[in-house]
Amino acid sequence: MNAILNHSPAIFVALPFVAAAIAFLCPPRAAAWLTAIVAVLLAVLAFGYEASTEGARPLIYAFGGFAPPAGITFRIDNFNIIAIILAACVCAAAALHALGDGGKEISAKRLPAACGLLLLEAGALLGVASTGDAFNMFVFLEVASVAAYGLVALGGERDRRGFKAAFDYLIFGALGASFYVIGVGFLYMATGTLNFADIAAHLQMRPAPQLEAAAYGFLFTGLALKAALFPLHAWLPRAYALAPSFVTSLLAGVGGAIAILALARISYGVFGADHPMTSAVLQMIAAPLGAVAIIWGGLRATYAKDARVMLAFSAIAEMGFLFLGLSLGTVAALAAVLVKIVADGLSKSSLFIAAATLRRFSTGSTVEAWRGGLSRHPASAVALSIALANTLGAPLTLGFVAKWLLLDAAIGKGWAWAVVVMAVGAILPVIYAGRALEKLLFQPGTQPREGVTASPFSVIPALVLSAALVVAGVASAPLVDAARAGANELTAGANR
Amino acid sequence: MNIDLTDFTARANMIAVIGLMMAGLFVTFASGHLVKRLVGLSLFQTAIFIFFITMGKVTGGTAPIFEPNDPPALYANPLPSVLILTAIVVSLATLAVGLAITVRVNEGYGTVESDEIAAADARIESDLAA
Repeated sequence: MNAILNHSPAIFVALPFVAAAIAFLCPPRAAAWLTAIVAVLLAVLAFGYEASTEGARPLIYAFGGFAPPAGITFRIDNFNIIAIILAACVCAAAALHALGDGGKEISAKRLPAACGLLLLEAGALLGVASTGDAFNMFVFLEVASVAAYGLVALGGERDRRGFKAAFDYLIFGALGASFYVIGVGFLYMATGTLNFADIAAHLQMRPAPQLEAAAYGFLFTGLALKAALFPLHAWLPRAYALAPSFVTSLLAGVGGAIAILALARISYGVFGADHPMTSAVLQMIAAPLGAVAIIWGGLRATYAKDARVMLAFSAIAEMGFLFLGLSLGTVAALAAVLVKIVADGLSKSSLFIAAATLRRFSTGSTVEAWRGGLSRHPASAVALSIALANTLGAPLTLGFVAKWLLLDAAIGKGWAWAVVVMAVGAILPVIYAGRALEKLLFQPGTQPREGVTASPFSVIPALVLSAALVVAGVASAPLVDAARAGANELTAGANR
Repeated sequence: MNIDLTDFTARANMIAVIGLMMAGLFVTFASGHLVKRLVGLSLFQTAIFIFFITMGKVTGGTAPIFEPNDPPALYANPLPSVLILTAIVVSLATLAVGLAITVRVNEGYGTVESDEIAAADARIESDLAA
């Protein structure tokens, strides 16, 4: 038992990888069950893991007993643990949805492969969140991306445009990873090590301004491509709108957020907020582009007719908020970004799952087709409404808390223009999410379609995620405190 | 103005890497043929491999092979090459997935030219257009 506990960081990532290999060989239903059980187990373990390592973080796990900096390490600290829990929960929801109605969107013979890829994606996302090694992070990012290309391509079965969307995603994703690895190369040239903590220590002792500048530029561009920062977002709307819904719920929930978290760790944990290149890139590139993304994504979402296209552009706007928050560079802003990542992850996952369920009860994929959703399928309409209210930033939801914290951080930094952009960016969702809410809740619907049922495996995850948004929104203190502790720990790391 | 030629010769690897990288990036975006775009991507990634491998070269150093009787005094840094072994596998996997998707695009559209695919998509009314 003790041995298992000692190796838990590695087991946490290895478990989904091993299960993925088995899922590929199973018959369709068995594969879906296996995936759902493993993913739910991971989510339960993540919470238990958080509780059992309380006070013992940061926990450094050295693979094979090779001590850092020579060996590869996993690092579980107060910042990473939030990402790990979020990723595990969103993966569990996606896997349950695949077992329920989501799996019906693809042919049964492809279900084992889809489940295997889903587990690979889950393991790789957890790996990115927990690794303490720059090159190891590249490998996990790529495992996650290659699995995601395959998952998005599954959408091509119903709509051939899905194949082209997967191809474009692959080109952008591979370029992003390549930029990231060039950055790692420059970091290695500057420091001679790949361990994040060791790199940070070397940069403090022996600065190499030119190499550091080149390294950060490439790392930033690569991760911005992965996170779809405007104008590097071209792949995102099609990939999100055309992939099967259980895939989109996972990608929109944590796929982009994990790249932001990686960028936050590199910017603040390795380079440090006061590093000249880091602050220059964040303030002169990330901040304006994030601001444009907020406005542009919001406008496109307002004009979108298709429900999933609207949600995809909304995701681009949320990414803008995250990049703008990241560029503020204060501990308060970093904590706000963490809370916002949790709020977006839970709500986007719930939105795509509930929208897929409601889609079964209505005709057409437009927002217009949500009309009278409450009378058609109350449970998913309620889940969808709460998640939309979260996107809109309604009080009592976590989205409100996150936007409040971000605004507060912008005011604290004294960036008046950022406050204005965030305020405008908070009004745009009132238009598009408000319009969708009005259709869902207050407009009479036609008769529900006969003979359609919704699987509880799709309905319950959406309801649980939406309920979590309200619970965390009302009693936000534990999450906000945890985010502050994480942000404090991360920013202190660079000065070690 | 004096230009020291040794600056160029000492950085020949970087010049080669930048040239290859830009050629790859250009093909990736300028070509409409999906297979050519993947070739461009591969070229781009190959440039990165060269960047890493030449980074480990130590002037006057031998290959990093340990011989118990006659250990080399000066040898190249083997770590970048080891990293690139992994990166090559990643690149190969990406290329394989990309080609597989291209096959399915061809099955779906009957073509692998971007503009013909865009023309076929334009017939569907959608707000997915850029």
